[in-house]
Amino acid sequence: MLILGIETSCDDTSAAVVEDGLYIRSNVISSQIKEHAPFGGIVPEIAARKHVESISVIIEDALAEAGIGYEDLDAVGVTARHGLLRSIVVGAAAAKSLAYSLDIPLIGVHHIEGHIYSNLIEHGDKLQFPHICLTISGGHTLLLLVHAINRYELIGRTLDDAAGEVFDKISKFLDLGFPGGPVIDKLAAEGNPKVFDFPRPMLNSDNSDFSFSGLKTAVIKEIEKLRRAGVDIPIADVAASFQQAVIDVLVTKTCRAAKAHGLSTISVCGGVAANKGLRKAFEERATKEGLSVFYPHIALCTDNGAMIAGLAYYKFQDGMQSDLRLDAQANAPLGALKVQYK
Amino acid sequence: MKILCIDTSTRHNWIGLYNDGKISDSVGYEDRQSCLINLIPSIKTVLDNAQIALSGVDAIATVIGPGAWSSLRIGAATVKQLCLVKRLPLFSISNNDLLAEWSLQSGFTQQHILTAMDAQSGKVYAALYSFNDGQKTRISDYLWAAPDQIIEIFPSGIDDLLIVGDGAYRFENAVHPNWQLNYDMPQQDSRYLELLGKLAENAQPVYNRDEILLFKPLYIQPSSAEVEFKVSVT
Repeated sequence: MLILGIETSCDDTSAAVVEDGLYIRSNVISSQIKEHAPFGGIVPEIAARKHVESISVIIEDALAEAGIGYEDLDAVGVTARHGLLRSIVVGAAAAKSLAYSLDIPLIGVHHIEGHIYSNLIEHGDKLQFPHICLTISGGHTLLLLVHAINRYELIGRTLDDAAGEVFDKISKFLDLGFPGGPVIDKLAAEGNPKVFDFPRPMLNSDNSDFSFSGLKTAVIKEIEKLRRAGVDIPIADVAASFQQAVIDVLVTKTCRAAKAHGLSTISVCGGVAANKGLRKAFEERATKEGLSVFYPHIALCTDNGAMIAGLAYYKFQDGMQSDLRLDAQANAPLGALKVQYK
Repeated sequence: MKILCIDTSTRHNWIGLYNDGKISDSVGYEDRQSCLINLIPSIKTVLDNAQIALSGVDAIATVIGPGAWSSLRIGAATVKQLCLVKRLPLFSISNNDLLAEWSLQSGFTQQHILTAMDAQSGKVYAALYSFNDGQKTRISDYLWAAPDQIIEIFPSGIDDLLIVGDGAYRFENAVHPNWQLNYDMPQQDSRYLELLGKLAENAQPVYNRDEILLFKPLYIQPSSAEVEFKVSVT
């Protein structure tokens, strides 16, 4: 079964063709980083305008790369929940047009669930249920107990900024550009993480929630202090120390949650899951504590149509189908247990 | 000729089938917030009522803007994908041009028409047209500006002027004695949709396939971030 997946929940326009939920025939992603860079962050109105311009181009590129035409599609899946509303509606409108004009099923899915599914595309049956999933991006930071696809329990979430959001904000403050994650990760590899002792917020709290705004403030204050003193800012050391603080909290609390639930499997997904420092830290901790950690290929960490197509296949097999009145929602409960994470 | 006419540019979204000179079937809804929910089902209803399939349509005609941004985007993403799948020609026209043509066909006789659609925050989407021997010519850019800014850039000697559209009231305090204001916004009149179909019927194919792929709304108004940062990316 060939499903076209469309993802436009934020600033990436993506379309992919996935066969039987697991085999990626194409996964085309058009980034808007250049357009948003002058503003130091994503501008929703600009994102929506760019999606309209590129959505059909990306869809046809995905079909061409998969070696198929419109008429070969069996269904279309689309992100309909979670993200920037102005962006989501563009992908949803295109998906509905396809479903209607080709007379094929339409399956609207939840963006975060797509990220969770990205590990199943990558690892298939090797990733066992139940497990703990850390899903981290510029828009959300959630710790979930995954009983199965569509059955999630919220264990923890950020109480303020998302992890990826803090990377962006620190990068902006240091004039390192946008997005902040990749550039800080690269600089961190060259720096000493022990130079600055930044706080590890909520590391020892008796729950699995996160908080990153205090860390962000501490880093900014340190940079301002150095600037006032006329000292050259050791940017690589700041990046390394900041990133290590984020990693320590994410890794420690995720591993702790797994143990608390008697589980030995962890999956990590979302844009921040591409962070090399985070992956290394998880691997080291997992080896030490006898845990298995799964993350998707880097191309599946960022927002992508393949995870949406894969998830849509799963949902369709489970009997789910949307009608042509499908609406978009910026925030929506996650899964059958209706997890509220905002 | 059967033309699927779609206007999502204003508060009143309207879908109709232009069939041999008339709108034979149509569906409208008021709430632009529900454009995503209603658009495709409305297209389906119109075509089902007319008992034709999408593939039985000869072309799609749409209003490209300016107007309500989100519903314009939903309309644009929808029509271009329908055209690409079914290999249908696409015709589009700006709200300003259509309103000016409407005024001409409604019997107004002024030499000039300023179309003015309310753009909120004291501004209008506007364009100035001159009429000679039944032919209209747009003689200004498409504008997004306050009434006094628009009047400032008028060529001198315009005194026979009709200002038309739901933004015309914004010119009440600036109006010249000979200027006439018409607050009508005929988008809720099925004859307006009919005019869209008629113009499409008489137009040469406007877009090739590559252009349909890149089709996007006419915004005129930049995003607030672009205004604030003085950077243009859209």
